[in-house]
This record gives sequence, structure tokens and C-alpha cells, in this order.
Amino acid sequence: MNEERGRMSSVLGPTGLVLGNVQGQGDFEVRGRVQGDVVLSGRVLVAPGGLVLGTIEAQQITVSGTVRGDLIAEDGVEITGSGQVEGNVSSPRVAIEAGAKVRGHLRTGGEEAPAAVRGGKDLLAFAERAANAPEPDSLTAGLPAIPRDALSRDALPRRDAELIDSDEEVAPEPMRPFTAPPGGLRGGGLSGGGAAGRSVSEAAAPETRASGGKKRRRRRRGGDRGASIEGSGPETDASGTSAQHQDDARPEFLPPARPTRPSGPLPPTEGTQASPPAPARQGRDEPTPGRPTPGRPTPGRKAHGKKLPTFVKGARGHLRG
Amino acid sequence: MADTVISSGLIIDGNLKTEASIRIDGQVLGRVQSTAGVELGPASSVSADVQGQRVSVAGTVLGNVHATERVDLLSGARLTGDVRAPRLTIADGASFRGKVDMESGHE
Repeated sequence: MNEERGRMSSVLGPTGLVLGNVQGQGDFEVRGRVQGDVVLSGRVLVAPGGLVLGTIEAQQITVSGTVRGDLIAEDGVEITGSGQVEGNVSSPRVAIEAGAKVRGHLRTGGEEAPAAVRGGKDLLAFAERAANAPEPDSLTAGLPAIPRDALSRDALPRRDAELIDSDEEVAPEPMRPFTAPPGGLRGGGLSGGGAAGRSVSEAAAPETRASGGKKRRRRRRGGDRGASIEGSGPETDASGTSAQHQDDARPEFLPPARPTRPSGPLPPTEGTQASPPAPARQGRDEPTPGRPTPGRPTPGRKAHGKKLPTFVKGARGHLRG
Repeated sequence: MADTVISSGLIIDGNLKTEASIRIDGQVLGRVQSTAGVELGPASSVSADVQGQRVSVAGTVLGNVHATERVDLLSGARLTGDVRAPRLTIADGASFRGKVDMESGHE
């Protein structure tokens, strides 16, 4: 016991009770009870049987007893098997042994809060920075911006809502499969036609910009290719949204621009062909769209209307089969 | 070795109560109560009453000192308050201002 005490400069004995705050420099071992905050520049150890009812702020905190309050450490927090913590833990490193009972929020990432001993000015500056800083671990990083109201918490599956609320750093789950609403879909975004969705769709669906113009051959990089181009193509407004947009999940519009089969004679197509957008998009010297050409397989070209699995890269970055 | 040690640099903004011995080298902005010995080191400072079985003061006390057994004011002590104890010693170099009551030390 003496060597243990030697490491900690200050000790509160097992029968000790502090009704008030403890602050200052040095280490502190709590074997008794502290009803108040503990703000130190050194280490704080809550021994088994120790109790702190208040916030502990220190360089390093080890809890083997009970703490009802927050733990804020500059260095690290360690909660051993006999420790019980009911409060939030904010520290760059946290170690929780098996058997510990912890209830509260955990925050390891982000800017560390300055220790209170440095004064209220630092705390204010930190709060301002934290409020203005961009979210580093946003689940939607890298994806096009979605209008906030489109993402209602109730609409998400339960686990997603928990992730948003949680302070933990978790790897973002892949987005749920995105099913296009009928009759109106442009690029990304749950709110079709939203400003963000518009910008994405413009980048991803260049062919619809040529309203009324010639169909130029474009390298398709994915995105929305569901616009039905019949004749001169559907009228598109300034944002590239087509009033007659058709969902590209429909089988008639599936054929990709690039041939995905090895060159060679293709089996004859079956049934009637719906208006094929593919030849128009390829810009080759094709028969006018709308006229099926079943008996003329061109090497490297797929027959119209034949339903083939295509992988369209949706605006959200995932694949739709 | 005291059960509770408040080393210099530590500030207790409140009352400190224990049933074992205390050694204080820091600051206590409140009462110090013990049923055992209380040792106030040279750098210590207590801003309210001190109560114990044996109280030895070498620092600053701004309050009364009650002891059930004895009070010792060592050299360097600065006590501004009353003393109630059955036995009292004031060393050379101690500074003391207050009343002394040695009749009944139990309070």
C-alpha cells in the first residue's frame, strides 16, 4: 500500500469525504468519496471502493471504483474490471477492461478539449472551433450532397439512425440499395430534381443535354442513361431533367453503349423490340431508332431489346443490377 | 503515514472529513474534520475550522482549532482563531492570535 501511495502524491483515505471540488497540480488517488469535480493536471486514480460524484478532468484517469460524472483526459482513460462509470468519456485513448460497467458517450476522435486548468478562454475557443469545424467522419463524405430534409431520421433503418447519433467513429456502412421512384429520377438524391441531384445528373447524363440535337457518341461513364431518346429525344429543361424521363431500370433501355459480348454473330433477337436507344447513343450509322433490326447482327453489337444484365453506376456510387 | 494526504499544489474547494489521520500540505478552502490526527504542513492553508484528536499546525489556519487531545502550534504556524484543547503547545516562531480554552477539549 505504501508503494502505491508513493506513486500518487495525494490520497483521500477510505473513510475520507470531500464535499466540494478538488483542483490543482499533481496526482490524486481517491479511496474515499468525492462529491464534486476533480480537475487536476496530473493523474487521477479512483481506487476500488472509491467514489467520485462529479466530473474528472486530468491528464490520465484510471477508474477502478465508481464515477458518476464525465471523464475528460488529455492522455488516456483506463477503466479496469472493477470500474463503473456513468458518464461521458472524452479522451484520445480509452481502455476498458472486461467486467467494467460503462454507460455514456465515448469520444476519442476530433480535437481534444483543453483541460479546465488552462482557463475558460481556451474552452470558449475550443467550443467555437468545434462548432465551425467540418465533420470529419461524416457518413456521406464523398457522396453528392443530399438536402437535409430528404434524410428524415425516421426513414432510415434503425441502425443508421444510431450511427448518426453516436459519437463513435465507425466505418460508414454502404448505402442502401437505391430504388428509383417512378416517373422522376435524375441522378442522385432522394429528392429528385433537388439542386444537388441536378448537378450530379448533369455530369452523369450528358446525352440528355442535347435536346433536339444530334445524338453524339459519348463515352458512357455510368450515371443516368435512362432517358428515352426517341427521334430527337425528349425535351429537357435547363437542369437536364426530362419530363418524359423513363426509369432506366426498365428492361427496354438496358442495352449498354459498349458491347459487352465478344465480337461475333449474335443470336437472333426474340419478340418485338421496343424503341432502342442504344444505336442512337452510339452515334453510328444505324437505322433510325424505333426500327428493330433483328436479322442484322453486327459484330460486336448487341441486338436491340435483348434484355441483358447491365450494371449502371448510380449517382450514389453503387451498382444497380 | 497519514491515511489522507493532500500534497502541496492540491486545492480542496470544500470540506474534508475523515475518520483517519490527515496530512495537509495543500490548501483547503473549507473545514477539516477528523476523529484522528490532523497534521498541517508548513505550506498548508486551511480557511475554516480544524477538528481532530490531535492537531499539529505548521501552516496557516484562518479558523478555530478544536482537538480532543492536544494542539501543537509549530514554528512557522500562523493561526488566527480560537483554540480549544485540553493540552496546547506553542513553539517559538509560531504566530497565534485568538482565544485559548483548555477546560473542555471535546466539542
